[in-house]
Amino acid sequence: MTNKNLLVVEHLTKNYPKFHLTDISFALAPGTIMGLIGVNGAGKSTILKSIAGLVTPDEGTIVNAATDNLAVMLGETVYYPEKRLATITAITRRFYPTWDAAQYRYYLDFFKLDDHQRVKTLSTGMQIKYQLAVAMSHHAPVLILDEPTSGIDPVSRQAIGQVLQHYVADGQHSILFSTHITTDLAAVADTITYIHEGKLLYTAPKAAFSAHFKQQFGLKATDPLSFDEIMLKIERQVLVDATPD
Amino acid sequence: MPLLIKEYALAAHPTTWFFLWLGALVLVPTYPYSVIFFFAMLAPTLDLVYAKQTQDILYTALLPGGKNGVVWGKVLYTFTFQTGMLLLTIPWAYLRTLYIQNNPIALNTNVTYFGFGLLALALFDFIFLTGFFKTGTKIGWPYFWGTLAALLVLGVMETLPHLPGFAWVNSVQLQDLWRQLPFLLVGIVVFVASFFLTHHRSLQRFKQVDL
Repeated sequence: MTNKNLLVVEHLTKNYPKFHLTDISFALAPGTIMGLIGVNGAGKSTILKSIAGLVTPDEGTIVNAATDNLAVMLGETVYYPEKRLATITAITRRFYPTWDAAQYRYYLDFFKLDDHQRVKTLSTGMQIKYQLAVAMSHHAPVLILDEPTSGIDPVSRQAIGQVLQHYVADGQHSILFSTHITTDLAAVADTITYIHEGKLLYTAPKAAFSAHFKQQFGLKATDPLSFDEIMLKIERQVLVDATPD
Repeated sequence: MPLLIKEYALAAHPTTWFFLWLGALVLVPTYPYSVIFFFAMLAPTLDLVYAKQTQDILYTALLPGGKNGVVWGKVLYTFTFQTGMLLLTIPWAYLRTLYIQNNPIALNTNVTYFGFGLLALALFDFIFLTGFFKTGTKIGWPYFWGTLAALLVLGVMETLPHLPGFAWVNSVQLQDLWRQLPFLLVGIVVFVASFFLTHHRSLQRFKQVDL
């Protein structure tokens, strides 16, 4: 790992009977947000779970700047539905010496969350906001988010985008998030990494990423090309290639 | 310590607190008291079923202890719960011995009872928890095999006093309680050994599991 990167993934490989994640390498610089993009089943979650220690890779190395203080949020996973938010927080904060109560209160206010409510009474969007509030309140250098904006409304997505940018603004923190909602990439990501069928297709800063695929698709530098179009072209190209004559 | 607090405050099934007091069943004059040990096995089983429903295992695995923390928390919870339940049974057993004396249908709550009970729980915990941590999801078969092993031990316990020359095993007289002490010592040693072995083996197995 170089001194400046907060997370370095090298040659990450994981083999399942019907899926292979092959030779994934990338690095996350401080103060940046990396978007991991790809269709469902491309391998994004396997990468994030490997970083989080939930999946044991077959090969490769993962070096995190603070192994004992990693913040991970798996979107749409509902924990302890019968418990009140305040109870979950009171227990969780015991695990983090760096817990920042003021920061937590700030996020609760920002997201208009009442921590006396039970988890099951919250909407999906509010549950995600609560998990984000907890994840961002112990100053983890690296924040890992799996589909953080999936299934929530545009207003909430924008609010989440704001706090994510605020989180990395001090240059001491970084965020790696997976998504297939390409508008989120345009809004918050500094760097984009495209995962296709278990392989890393391309990783680059946002502008260079677009420029690369414009060149790949034979477009001029001034031609418009959205992330949606990049994704569709990549995935459809594969379908065309796979169609028998 | 935060893990144990998390187990009781967040992960434990609400009936845990009810099961904890079921040792009081020894005050029922005629009752197969071995059943109390099966309640002590059922509570951690319900806890794991509940943990699956509440995504507790995933939540804990994402805390600083990671997957090791999941194993340590569950093993610690199971053994402390059972120890607490048995400790809370002792006063009731003492009261029973003072005022009710003999149980006509099964073994009395004497030193033999606690010794064999610890042995049964030690075996159950090892089979059940290491079986569960092989997959992190399957509870049914580990519970079945664990209960079967405990059933055999408790079957021996209930049969022993009926063998010629072993009536003292069922006695609640002071002089016989001293003779029963080796059962308790063996039970304690095996229970403590099971705690460490269960933790070690569960850890080895759960490391191989992808969540």
